[in-house]
Amino acid sequence: MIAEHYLLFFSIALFSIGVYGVMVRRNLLFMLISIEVMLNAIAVLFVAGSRYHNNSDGQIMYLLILTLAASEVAIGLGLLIQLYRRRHTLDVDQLSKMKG
Amino acid sequence: MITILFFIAAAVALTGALLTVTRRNAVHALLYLVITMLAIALIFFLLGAPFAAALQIIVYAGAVMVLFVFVTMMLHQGQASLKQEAMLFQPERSVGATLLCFILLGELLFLLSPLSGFSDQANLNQQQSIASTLPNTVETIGAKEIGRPLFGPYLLLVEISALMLLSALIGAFHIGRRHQEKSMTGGEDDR
Amino acid sequence: MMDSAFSPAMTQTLSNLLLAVPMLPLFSASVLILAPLFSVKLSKTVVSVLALGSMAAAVLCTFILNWQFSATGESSFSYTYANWIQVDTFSISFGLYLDALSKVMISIVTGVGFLIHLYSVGFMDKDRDFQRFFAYLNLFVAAMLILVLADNLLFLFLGWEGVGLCSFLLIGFWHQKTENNLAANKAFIMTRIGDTGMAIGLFLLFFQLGTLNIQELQIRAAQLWPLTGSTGSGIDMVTISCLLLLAGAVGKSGQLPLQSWLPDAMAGPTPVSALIHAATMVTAGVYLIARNHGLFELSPFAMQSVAAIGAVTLFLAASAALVQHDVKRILAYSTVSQIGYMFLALGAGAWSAAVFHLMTHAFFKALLFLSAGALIYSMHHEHNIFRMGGLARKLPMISGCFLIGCAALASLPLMSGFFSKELILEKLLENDMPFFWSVAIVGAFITAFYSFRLFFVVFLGKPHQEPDERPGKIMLGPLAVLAILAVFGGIEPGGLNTLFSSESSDDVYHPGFLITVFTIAVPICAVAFSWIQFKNGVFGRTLQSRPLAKIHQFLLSGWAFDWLYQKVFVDPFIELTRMNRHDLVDSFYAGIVYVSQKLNRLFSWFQNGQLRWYSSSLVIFAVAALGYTLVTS
Repeated sequence: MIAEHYLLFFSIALFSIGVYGVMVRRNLLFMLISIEVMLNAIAVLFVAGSRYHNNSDGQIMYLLILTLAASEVAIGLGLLIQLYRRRHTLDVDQLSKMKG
Repeated sequence: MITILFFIAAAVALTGALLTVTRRNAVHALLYLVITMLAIALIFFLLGAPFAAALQIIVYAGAVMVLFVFVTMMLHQGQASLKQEAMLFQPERSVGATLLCFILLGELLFLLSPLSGFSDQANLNQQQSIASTLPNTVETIGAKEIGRPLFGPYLLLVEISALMLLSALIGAFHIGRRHQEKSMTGGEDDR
Repeated sequence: MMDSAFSPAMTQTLSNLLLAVPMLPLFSASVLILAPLFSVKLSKTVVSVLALGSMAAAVLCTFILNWQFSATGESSFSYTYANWIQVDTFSISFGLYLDALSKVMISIVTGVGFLIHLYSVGFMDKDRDFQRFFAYLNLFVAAMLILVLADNLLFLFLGWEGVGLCSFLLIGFWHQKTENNLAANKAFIMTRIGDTGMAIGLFLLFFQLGTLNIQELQIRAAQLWPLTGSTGSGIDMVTISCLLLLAGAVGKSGQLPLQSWLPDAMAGPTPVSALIHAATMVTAGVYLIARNHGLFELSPFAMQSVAAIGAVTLFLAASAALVQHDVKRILAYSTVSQIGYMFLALGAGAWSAAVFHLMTHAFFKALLFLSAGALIYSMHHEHNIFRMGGLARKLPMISGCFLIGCAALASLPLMSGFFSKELILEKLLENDMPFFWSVAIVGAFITAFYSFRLFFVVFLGKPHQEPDERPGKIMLGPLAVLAILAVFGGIEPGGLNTLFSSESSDDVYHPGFLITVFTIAVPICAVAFSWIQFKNGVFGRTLQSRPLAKIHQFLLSGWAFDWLYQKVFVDPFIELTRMNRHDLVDSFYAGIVYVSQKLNRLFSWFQNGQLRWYSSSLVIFAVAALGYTLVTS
């Protein structure tokens, strides 16, 4: 059996990689990708929890995370496309009209 | 044995993730992401969650990533995009972010390690982990075990997630549409 | 409080008549004020009829009241019409009180008021704001009547404030000229200072005695603060209340130290000066003290203060009137001086003498002011007496009225002013106040001197200008009536003596024969002296010597009180406000604004629209929170 702290460490590391990606990349598409990485990390956490508590709750939660990720990606990419059509740039530093 | 497999899969996943967030080419990044997801699916198998693993491959790597790829193909403009991305992503200029992430990682690891007072493993009487209490054979939690609660206590959850998917569908359809000039948004002022 | 000696029918009649007296002018005033608000245009005839009619009706009611009253032989009548304030033990009612004193006052106010209204119809005929004038004038008469008829001090204070307001409105009647507004402000502010003192006095009286009803007050005061007979001039509660009431009287009557507003109040139309600043409003202070005589008698110190103020003002104003060249200013200073006489009489305890002098003064001063108005009107608004001269032949009626008025003012024998002033002088000697008597004698000399200086300079001698208009009959009629009253009005009103019962007429004091001759001779000598000076051309000559010119300037400015107040009060205040230019109190609120603006700027700096900044701030906060938990665990 896999010791649970290994899974915890793995999940956390994956999560922080995702955070790094969100903070560093300026392209909106890459930020969305990094968010996907983060979501995956949390999914791992939940499924591991399901294993170590020996019930199916974690996997049901994983199901929901999946659903969420799918809807989020759909809408996020739709917004991305719309934004690109209007602004012709995906640089978030330039897409900062909501200031103040 | 399982642990070794786990380590390999974890290494692949971490590397894949690292490479995902640092590539300049969007398609490369996406492909690395797919690899990460497949590695995670393997980890799920190792954890005795075949249903979850299957879902990971089919839905996540199969549908969501394909969606990503489609959109990237729509927006990618070859060399121009690569040059642009080179301008946008300059890791040497993001020292602060790197530092922050390391600190975050360190803190979280510290929290969960036996060193801090939080972890269950702090009680040094119990040197054994929970994992060792479990039998050596992996009992899989398959589709049946997941399906029964879904029709039972978690019925509402299913309905709600269906609603969420519906709204996402409608929203994505509407947002991604090509709007006419004289529809709601008139001329916008570009800065 | 109803007087039970009257039959119910009589009570009803008397109370209705009594109510009608102030209410008729008030009704007329409200119609004249409200008509423009409802876009009702009233022609000049309607306005005159309304204003004069209400005054005439008030005169009629007063007359009937007098007649009915004397028929019954009672001494006082009081009636409560409605309740005004009722809070716990503090209850004030709308009540009117009629006795000999208030009878005299309402007769003066309505009678002289009616004559002046009649005069104003002619005087203000060509003025644009005819309706407004009569509205204010009627409002003033109503407030004055409330003042003299009120049975409690708070209701009196209501009338007091009302006359102050109307005085302000009427002084600044021609408000298009700034100096009129300034004069009105000055009058209002200075009387306000007095009114504040009076209000504090009212609070004190209520706090000590629990009532503000005038008759009740005097009874309780006599019980609470009995006159022990010691000559202690200590400052005790009753003295303080009396002094505070005196402050109000001083402000309203233009005595020291609040006298400098009266000469400037001559900026108003002449009928206003006649009615308000000669006959009625300025006598409100005298009325107040006379009304509360029971209270004042309990405090010898207050009485002495009243007399002292009267004496000093009397002398000050008379000396100032000596050198003035504006005819209305001469009359104004003379008013201040004559009211000083009344205060002197009050301080000496000669209550009925003071009220008697008030009455005669109303007659001849109104006569003088109205004649001055006619004079100015005829001389195309010339005010300087040294640009007039020799008008006796050209304006016979006016010069005749002036002669009578000046004679009464100078208290030449057989004029009304003679009787009242002689009575005051007698009472001063009777009450053993020789110093004040000598001041009064000197004042009488100076009064006669300057009043005939006025007459001689304007009406005799070489003419400088020709009159271009003659006053109409409607202006001359009231003048004639007032002239008759000024000559024959020297009859002391009955009932006043019995009212002020403290002066028992048991031992009638007869001053020595020599003293009587002396007091009669003084004004005659003054007139002769003035004639000599006039013949020598002293009046109006520019003074050669420097010290004399300085004295002349000093007297001309009314003993430089304006300069004094400017230096002591106005300039430091302006300096303070200049130092507080940025408003200390306001800067607190400005500080709040400043702080919130700074905070706003700080917080909006966080909202810079940069997505990566937002995500970084999330991560930073997460790191910080985790670090905090780690550190504090």
